[in-house]
Parts: sequence; structure tokens; C-alpha cells
Amino acid sequence: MPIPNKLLYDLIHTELSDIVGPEHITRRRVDKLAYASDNSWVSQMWIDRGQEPPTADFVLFPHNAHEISEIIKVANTYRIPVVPWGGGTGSQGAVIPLYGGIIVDLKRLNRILEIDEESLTVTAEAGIIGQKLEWELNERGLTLAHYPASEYAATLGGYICARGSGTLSTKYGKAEDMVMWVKVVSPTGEIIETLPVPRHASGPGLLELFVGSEGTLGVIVEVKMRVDPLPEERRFRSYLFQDLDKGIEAGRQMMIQRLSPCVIRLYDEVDTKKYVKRVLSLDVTGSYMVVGVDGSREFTEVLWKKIIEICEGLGGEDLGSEPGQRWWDHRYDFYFPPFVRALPKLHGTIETVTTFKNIRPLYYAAKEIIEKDYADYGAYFFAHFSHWYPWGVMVYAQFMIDEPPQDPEEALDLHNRIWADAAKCFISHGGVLNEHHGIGLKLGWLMRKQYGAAWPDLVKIKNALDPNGIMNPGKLGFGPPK
Amino acid sequence: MREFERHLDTINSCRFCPMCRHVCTVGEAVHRESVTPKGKGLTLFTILKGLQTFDPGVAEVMYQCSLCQLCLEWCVGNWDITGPTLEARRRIVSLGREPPQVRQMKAHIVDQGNPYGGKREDRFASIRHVEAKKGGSVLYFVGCGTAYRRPEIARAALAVLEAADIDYSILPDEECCGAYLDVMGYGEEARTFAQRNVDRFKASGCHTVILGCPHCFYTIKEMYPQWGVKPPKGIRVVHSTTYLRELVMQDRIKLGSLEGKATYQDPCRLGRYCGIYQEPREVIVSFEGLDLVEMRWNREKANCCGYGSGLAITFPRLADDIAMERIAQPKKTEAGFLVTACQSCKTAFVNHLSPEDNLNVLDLVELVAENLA
Repeated sequence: MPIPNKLLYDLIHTELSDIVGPEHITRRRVDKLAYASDNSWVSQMWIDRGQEPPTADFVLFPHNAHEISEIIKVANTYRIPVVPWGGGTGSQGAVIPLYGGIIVDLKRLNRILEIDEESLTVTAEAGIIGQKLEWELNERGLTLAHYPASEYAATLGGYICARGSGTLSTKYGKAEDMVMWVKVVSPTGEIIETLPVPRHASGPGLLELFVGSEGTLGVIVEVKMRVDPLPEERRFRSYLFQDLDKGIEAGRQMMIQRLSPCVIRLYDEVDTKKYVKRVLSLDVTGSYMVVGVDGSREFTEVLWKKIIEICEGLGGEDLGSEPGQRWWDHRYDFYFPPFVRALPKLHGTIETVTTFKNIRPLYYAAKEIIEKDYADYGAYFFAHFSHWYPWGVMVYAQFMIDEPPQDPEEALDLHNRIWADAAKCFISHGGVLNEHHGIGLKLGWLMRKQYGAAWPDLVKIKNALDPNGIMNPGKLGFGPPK
Repeated sequence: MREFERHLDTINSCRFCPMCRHVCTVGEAVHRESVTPKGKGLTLFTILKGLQTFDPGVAEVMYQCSLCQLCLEWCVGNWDITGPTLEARRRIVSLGREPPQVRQMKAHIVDQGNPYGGKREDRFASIRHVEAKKGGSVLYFVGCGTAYRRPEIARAALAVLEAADIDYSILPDEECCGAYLDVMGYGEEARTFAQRNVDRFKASGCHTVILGCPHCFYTIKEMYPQWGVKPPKGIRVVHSTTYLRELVMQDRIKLGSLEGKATYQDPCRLGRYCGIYQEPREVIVSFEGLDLVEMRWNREKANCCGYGSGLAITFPRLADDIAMERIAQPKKTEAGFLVTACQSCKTAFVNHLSPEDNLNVLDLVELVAENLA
């Protein structure tokens, strides 16, 4: 809720300033606007069209958990929102300060606290940028093995809060599979820790409560992650399948045979034509797949034989190792302008995950909805399949309209309608709202539909932990502060 | 604001792109979104959209950049945010809204010929032979940073020139090259200084101008012509590292032997701006017994020391924070010598090393001067 008057605003500023020091708090317009958008299309479109975006009242840069605890206590006193901010790279608007309040930028909490080379774990503060952590680990022959496209800017805490995935998640898992322990400042200001290890039979998983919580249940301030040794070798191969179904079947076979490839990245025919050509300069027709393995030479040799058998058995044309290696070397190029999908186009990443049994019906149903129902707008649909599980696969589905309405309200409405139709389609086909980008402000209203009868229980947990509703209100479907 | 039209593609590309966040020299020191290339792009975009104005907060953000161009090095799309940033500074100056410390720096340069406020007559107070050497065919342009902060570099340069039996001279009335005026948004004043310096070059009769400071070198060699202030034909403008390499290769000077390891800090203006990476390394490896060990990030991807482009004067605490972080890399190499080729880099490192670090920070010309055979 807005702070009711200037005097109170200045008094709160004094209190907050006393906690972090005057040089670590700002209420300048230039800073507020810098924290008014993330990587979400909606927040960017709003500014692109010259609309006044929601902004925070204050942006704070605390240095430790104690300061964050004190900030949260002040926020509870005045019942003003607290929005934790890591890298601001999320695509669902999870850090947009919808109700104003305090943005807590965590990037000063960037210390590596321990690298345990015996157990292969790293403990670090939540605000460290992923790439910087990775470089430090690499110097010791280790890797976090989490390679999201946002690695150059996203933070460790953000990885956990959004249940992120990296490009090698098929072998190494999502961030949620790597996290072992977190320290959290609760919505009432207590500094709490989860159990020291993630596997136990000591009651429900407290750790799980914070994973994917998107800042609504507290501020993650420290994280312990599993790490891996840098592999002796990592190699790639590319195949071109006649159609998407053949490619999906090849991936399924690799997974149900438990072959443990580090990556299977399968592009549908539209994505192959448009983006593989644009970024990888590969002009091919069909469904393009990059597959990779890593580990010791002996291990990868065995895997390769099996993978080649599967791909060639399904008619995959072997394009050799060079395109796959080029993809790996340039895997983030897709996300730089001018290659990144960006304004003025209207676009959205509506990725989901489901079982192998459901994936084809889900994909084709979503494609039909977007391309038929929104044909008047020239909408098109394309996808790649890049996070594979023993039981299913994620489809990184996207929609795009090259020339969307210029009116911001009309554009927003269109964006929301397309996304909602796709999301409902996913739910009805056994999928989920989202696989690794999160919910944010974008999909919160659909959480009730997704969770059904279980949704009120999630709300009760939120209300119990955060009685004033100050933590990142308006996200995950939890509504405004009390 | 027509002046921003030519920067629109860059502004639009940077405004929502975080892909260089991890290497932004200033962003990684202050951890604020607004100071990163993304933040600067977004700030300018929102100004153009009428969502904010060039207020003091915007002015501070635009001046908090070391112009190191490391972001550009990492940018797949090759978008250079320093262009719009410098444009913004010029706009801010035209509105009279530059931060007071920027205005003071300009006043120092205009009044005393240097950005530090040192007296004009004290420019060469710590450098010997100045009066004795006039009219040589090779002109050594000392530069403000060297003259007022690191005169030992100038002394070393003169010692090397003497050892090589070069007929050298120094401009007795030398003053600022104009680099800092230009990057702070005072283009007109920068051109005035440029013209005066070029007139002095002409009058000196020299055929070569050696610059020890990469800022001076880049400005005189690359920017003067862009400003329409061309050095006279026949005068060669060269950085000291290139000149040293030539002296070594031509056997004009003989290097002694040195035991141990040296690491080299690529100054932003010399490396990324001018592409000079190899020459200083070739001089280092010319010392018998001295091994060159590279820092994790070197050459095109070398990190900025934080002191360049006037940042150490306008935002000294910020510059110190950057330097403090930067010093970790040379320490990790376990080299005994940290060699650079920029007075700003040297000052940044000297200010943040302690005796226990056992790291001898030297400009390349000092390494040569102290170890001639």
C-alpha cells in the first residue's frame, strides 16, 4: 500500500538508512526506474510504450542477513512490501514492485563462504552472480554445472527462488536438484536455516518450501549447492530428423534407456528454420537436435555408441560434431540483441513439462490454439525441447507476433489472453504452468486453477509465515499486502 | 534531443539487456542496476520517453563509468554504451547539471592545465633535465597523471631515452591533452587544448611524439583527427610501449637479466581502445630470466583498474572499490613484478597493495630503465 504521506516516507527512510548506511539506500528516480522492469515482456512493454511503471519507494543494498532481518522488521512495522532482487533476469515479472515498498537488492551479498572439495559442495551468499561463482569453481577444477542463459547476470539466490534450469540440466538437474541447504530471513525477520543435508526422514522438507518461492516466503541469503568436477571431456553431435516426432522419440529412447546425456536440445521445424539458421548459420529443414555427453573418455565412448544407434535408427542425419560444438560455444548468443526475441515484437515463453505420454498431444494442442485462434494477429508458435527427465520432457514453447498492437492496454490484453489459453491447455494436457521461468506476476492468477483444491493450503502456509503479507505481494497468486 | 538519434539502436539494445552485468566494472563495485550498461540504456530511453529528466541522479549515473569498454568486448551484438553515455554527459554539461566534482576538474584543467589542481609551474617539479632538453627530434609528452602523480615514470622514460642516445625534448609549456575534458562532456574546451598542443608540436620541430599515458596517446592519435585537430604531417604519435619494443629490437638499448615472474596489466585505453597488447609483452619476455605469467583475464578481456578516464578524480571511493577488487588477479599469479603501461593503473595498484603482497608495481618503462644491461 502506498506510504500515506511525505513525512512518514521520510521517517521510514531515516530508519532504513540507519540499518544499511546512507550510501546503501536510494530513492532517486533514476534508481527506481532501473528497478521497474526485469526480463519480462510485460514490464518492458509498459516502459517501451512510455507508461508509468510501478516503482519501489526505496531501493536498499544490505550487506548481510542481519541487515535484511532489520529491514523486514521495519517493513512489518509499517506494513510496506519487501521485494528481494537478485539479477532481475526473470521473465515473469517476479521482481516488479507492484505495490511499491522496498526493493532489497542482494548483490552485495556476494561472498563465497566455503568450497568443500571433499564433499563437492559450495556455500555462498545468495547475491553472487552465477557466472562469477562458476569462474571461481572452475579455478579449482569444479563446476556448478548450472548453465542458464541468464548466467551472466542472474544470482545464486535467483536460481533457487525461480526453480531455474541450465542448458545441461538433463544430466545435472535443475537448481532445485543441486541445492542442499539455505539460510533464509523469514517474513517476520527471523534468520532460519534448513536441515544441513537435503535428504532425510526428519519430517517434511523445509528446504522445498523456499525453493521456487520467488521471494514470497522470505529472503534467501545463503545457499549450499552440490558441485561437480569439471568433466574430462564434453562432446556434442548434431542430428537432423525428418520431423519433430522422430526427434522426440530419439530423446525419449535416450532417457528411458537411462543413458544420461548432458544435453538433448531438440528444435521443432519452425525453430530450426528461423533461429538455428539465424544464430548458428545452419540452413536446414526438419527438426534439429544437439546431443551431448560428458565425463571420462571411457564413459562417453560407451554412451556415444548407444546414442548414435538410437538417432540413426530413427533416421537422424548425422551433421557431425561441429554444429553442436558451435551451439555450446555460442549458447548464450541467442540472448544478446539483435538475436534475442525482443520488443517491438510481442512474444512469450510458455514452457511447460509433462510426461512422454502427454508431450505430443500437449505440443500440438498448444500450437493449434495459438496459430488458429490468433491467426488474425499473425501469431506463430515454435518450440524446442531442452530439459529431459527419465519420465518426460520440457517443451520450451514460444509465441510471437511480429507487429503487435501499439496501444499498451491492447497489447497487454492480447499477451495475457494468448498466455492464459496456452497455460490452460497445458494444465488440461497434464502439464504445469511453468517449468523453469517461474510464475511471477504473469501467471499468479492461474495458480488457483493449477493447484485446485490444494491452493487454499498454500495460501494458509503463506499467511502463517507472512501474516502482514509484506513479502513480494502480488506474486505467485498470493495477492496484496494485508 | 536530436543528438541521441544516432545512438537509438544502442540505447534500444542495451535498455533491457543484462548480458554484460558480470563484467561491468562499476556495476560490480556498486551493485546498482542503474550504473550498468543496461541501466544507462534504460535511463536514456526513459528520458527520451519523458519518464524522467537529466536530474542530478541521472547525471551521477552517467558519470559513474570508467569507459573501459569491457562490456563491449563481451557483447555479441557489439553495442557500445560509451557512445550514448558520452552523449549524455555532453547534454548534462549543456544543461549545467554535471556533478560539482566534474565541474571542479574542468576548472582545474582550464586554470592550471591539469585535472588535479596542481600548480601549472609545478608540472615538472619532480622530473629532472626538463630545462636542459629542448628542441629534440623526439618529443616525450609527459601527461598530467605522470607529471603530478607518478613522476617516476617520466624519470624512467627520460633515462631510457638517454641510454638509447635519443635526441629528445619535453614541451616546457606542456598542458593537458584534453582527454578528460572530452570524456567529461566539455568538447569545446578539449578542442582548444588539442589545438594548443598541436601548435606546440609544430613549433618544437619534432618528428616523433612519445606518449606514456594511454589516455593521452589515444586522444592525440585517434581523437584529435576526429575533432579536426590534426597533428602536422610527418609527426609520428607513438605509445611508449611500442617505442620501447623498437629500441629493444633495434639494439638501441640492452636489457639486463631478471630472475622471477612478471604479469602484465593491459590498460583499457591502450588495449581495447588502441589494440596494443603484444608490444609490451615482447619487451617483458626480452629480459633474460624473466617469465611472463598472464592473469586470468588479460588482453581484450582484461579487467579495468578503476582509476581511468578520470573516475579516480570524480568518484575516488568508487575507483578505490574497483581497484581493491582488481588487485586480486595479479596476486593470484604469484608474480614478483606487476607491470603496466599506464599511470592510472599504476596508481590504482600502488594504492591497494601492501608490502606483504611482495608485488613490485612498475610501468614498463620503469622496468626497462631499472634493468638496463
